Amino acid sequence: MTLDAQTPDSPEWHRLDPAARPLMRISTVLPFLIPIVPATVLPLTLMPGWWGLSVTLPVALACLGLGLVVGHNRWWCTFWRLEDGGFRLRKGRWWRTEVFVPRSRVQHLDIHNGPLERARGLATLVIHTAGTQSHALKQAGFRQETATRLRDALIPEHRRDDSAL
Amino acid sequence: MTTAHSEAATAATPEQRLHPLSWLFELFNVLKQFIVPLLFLLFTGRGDRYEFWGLLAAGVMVPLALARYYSFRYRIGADRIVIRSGLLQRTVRDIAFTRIQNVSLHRSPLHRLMGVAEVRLETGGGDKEEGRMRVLGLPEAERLRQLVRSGETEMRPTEASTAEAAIDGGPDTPLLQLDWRELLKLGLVSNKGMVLVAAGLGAAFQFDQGLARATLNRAAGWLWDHGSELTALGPVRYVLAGLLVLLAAFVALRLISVVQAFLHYHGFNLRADRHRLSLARGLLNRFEGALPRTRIQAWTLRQSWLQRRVARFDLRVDAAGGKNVKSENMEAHWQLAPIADAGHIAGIVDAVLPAGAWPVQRWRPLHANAWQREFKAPALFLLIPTAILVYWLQAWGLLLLLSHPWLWFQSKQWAKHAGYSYANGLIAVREGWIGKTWRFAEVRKVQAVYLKQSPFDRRHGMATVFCDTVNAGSLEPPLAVRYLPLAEAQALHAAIAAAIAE
Repeated sequence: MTLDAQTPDSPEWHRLDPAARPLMRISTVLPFLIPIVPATVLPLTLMPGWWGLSVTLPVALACLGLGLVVGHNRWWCTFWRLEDGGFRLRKGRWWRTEVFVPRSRVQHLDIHNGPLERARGLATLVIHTAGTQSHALKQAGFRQETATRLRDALIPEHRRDDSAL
Repeated sequence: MTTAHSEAATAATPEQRLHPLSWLFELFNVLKQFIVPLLFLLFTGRGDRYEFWGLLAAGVMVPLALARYYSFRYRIGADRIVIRSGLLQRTVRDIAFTRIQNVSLHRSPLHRLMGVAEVRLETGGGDKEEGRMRVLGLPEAERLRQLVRSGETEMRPTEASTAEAAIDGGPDTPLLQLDWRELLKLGLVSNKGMVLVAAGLGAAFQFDQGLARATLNRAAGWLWDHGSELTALGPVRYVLAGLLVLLAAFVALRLISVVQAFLHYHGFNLRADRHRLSLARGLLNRFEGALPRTRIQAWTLRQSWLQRRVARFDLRVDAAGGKNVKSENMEAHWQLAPIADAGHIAGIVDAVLPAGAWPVQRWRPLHANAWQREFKAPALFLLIPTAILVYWLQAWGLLLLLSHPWLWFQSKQWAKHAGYSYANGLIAVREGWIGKTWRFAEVRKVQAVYLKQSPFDRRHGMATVFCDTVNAGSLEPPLAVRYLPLAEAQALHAAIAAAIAE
C-alpha cells in the first residue's frame, strides 16, 4: 500500500499551472549540472589525450537525466487542495509529503514574483504559521490569479473582518 | 476604564528613577565581557595589547553608564508603565499591563548584596523583552510585579474564572520543591560535570594555546620519567592503576555535577496560579520568572538509564514567543522539573493540561515491523567499517559483526517501548529504551500536520505523522509518530487535521 500522489483520491486536487513546468525543470536541472564541471576537468587533466571524455560523457548524461526526471516529478507530483478548514499540499515522488495547514493557524501570506515568473504570469505563495518547520511553507508554480485567490481565501477569519477605515 | 481616565492617572504619578546604584550594574554589564581577560592579565601578568584595549574601552564606559542611569526614567500608571530612556536618541515606551506576559527578576550575588534586582518586562510579541530595568530596589520590583498581576486579574475576569476552575488547589498551588536530597540525586545522575569540564578545557586551551601543549608535554614527560617503574609494576597492577585513575575522574565529574546542581537549582520552587506557572531557583544567581499558561506549547519528558535507577524524570516545555532568542533574554524552553518522581510530574502536567489527559491511559503500538527499520539502517551502515577492518586486519575485522545481535536485540526492545496516543485532545509519542523520551502537546497547539512517506516506508507500508508546534527546540525530540501502518497514519493525520481546522 502506498501514499499515491499521482492518482489523487478526490477531484478537488489541483495540479500547478502548466506554464510553470519549463521553469521548474530548468531550476531543478541547473544544480544537477554542477558535478559535470569536476567530472570534465579532472579526467581530462589526469588521463592522456581525450580518454577523459569516456568518464565525462556518462557522468554528464547521468546528471542531466536525473535532473530532468526530478524536475519533471516536481511538477507532475505536486497537488494542492483548498478546503473549508485550510490548505493541503501533496508533493514528492520518492519522498512523499502531505501537509495540512488550517486557516486558523495562518499568520500571514506572501506572494513572490521573480522576473521569469512575472513573464509567464506565475507566482510563488508563502504561507506563514507560528510553527517551527512550517513557519514559511513555500510553493512555486501558481498562476498569479490562483495565488491571489488562495491568499484571500486563507487569510484567517478574524483578520478578514478588519475594515481598513 | 476609559483612555482619558487612565492617561490622567498616569500623569498624576511622578516619574521615577532606577535604584541609585543602577550605574554600577550598567557598568558591570559592560565590563562582564572584559572581566575574564582582565583578571587573567592581573593574575598572570601576561597578555598582549588586546587586553589593554579592553581596559581603555572600559574607561570610556563609566561615564556612559552614569549617563544611561540619569537618562532612564519610568512612570507607573494605573494600567500601564511608561519608560523614557536614551541620551541622544530619546525613546518613550508605553506598555499596558495587560500586554505584559511575564515580569522576571534576575538576581546575581552582587544584586543580592545590594538588595536590588534586574527586572525584565516581557510581552508576547517581539523577539526581545520590551522593557529591561537595570536595576530596581527589591521592594519596588516586587511592587511592580504585584501591580502587573493585579491589573491582569481586573482586565480579564472571564479567562481568570475559567482557568481557576481548572485548578483544584486554589489560586497558588505549589507543584514542585526540591530539597537537598533531591538536588544530590540530580547531581549524581546528571552528566553536567562532564559537559562543564569539557567546555572549561576547551575555553582554557582556546584562550592560551601554549597551555594545551605544555599540559601534554608535562604528561608525556612524566610518563617518560616513570616509564620504567610503570612497566616494572606488571600488567595486573597497570590495569588496576588505570581503573583507579578512571574511577577518580568519574568521582570528580560527579562531584562537579552535584555542585552545579546545587548552584543552579537551590531553592527550586514551582508554583501554579490561575494565569501562570511561577518558577524560582538558584543559589548565587537567583532567577524568578513566570510562564503564562497560554504560552505553553509542547512538552518533553525524559528518563535516562541513571534517572530510572532512582525513579526520577526531567520535564521541559517549549514556550511561545521569544523566537530565535537566547534563553538568557526570554526563556524559550523552560525546565519545569529538573528532577521529579512520576507523581510530581503528573501533578505539574495536570495543572496545565485538561484533566485526565496525562498520564496516557493506553499507548498504541507502531507497525509490527517497526523494529526492522530501526535495525536495518545501522546494521547496513556497520558493514562499511567492517569491510575496512577486514581489509586491514583480515579475519579479525569480522569481530565487529558481533555487534549485530546486540543491534537486533536493541531494536526489538526499542519497538516494544515505542508507541503513541491520541486521546483527550492530547497527542503523545514515546520512544527509547535505555534512555526514554515522551513528547506530547495539546492538539490545539499544533500549527500544521504532515504525513510523510519515504521509499523505505513505502516498501514496508508505513508512514510518519509529524505535528509542527511553536518554538519546538532543535534539541527536543520531534512530535512525530514514525513507522505507523499507512492506513493508521492516514487516519491519524485526518483526525488531527480535522481537530485543528475547527
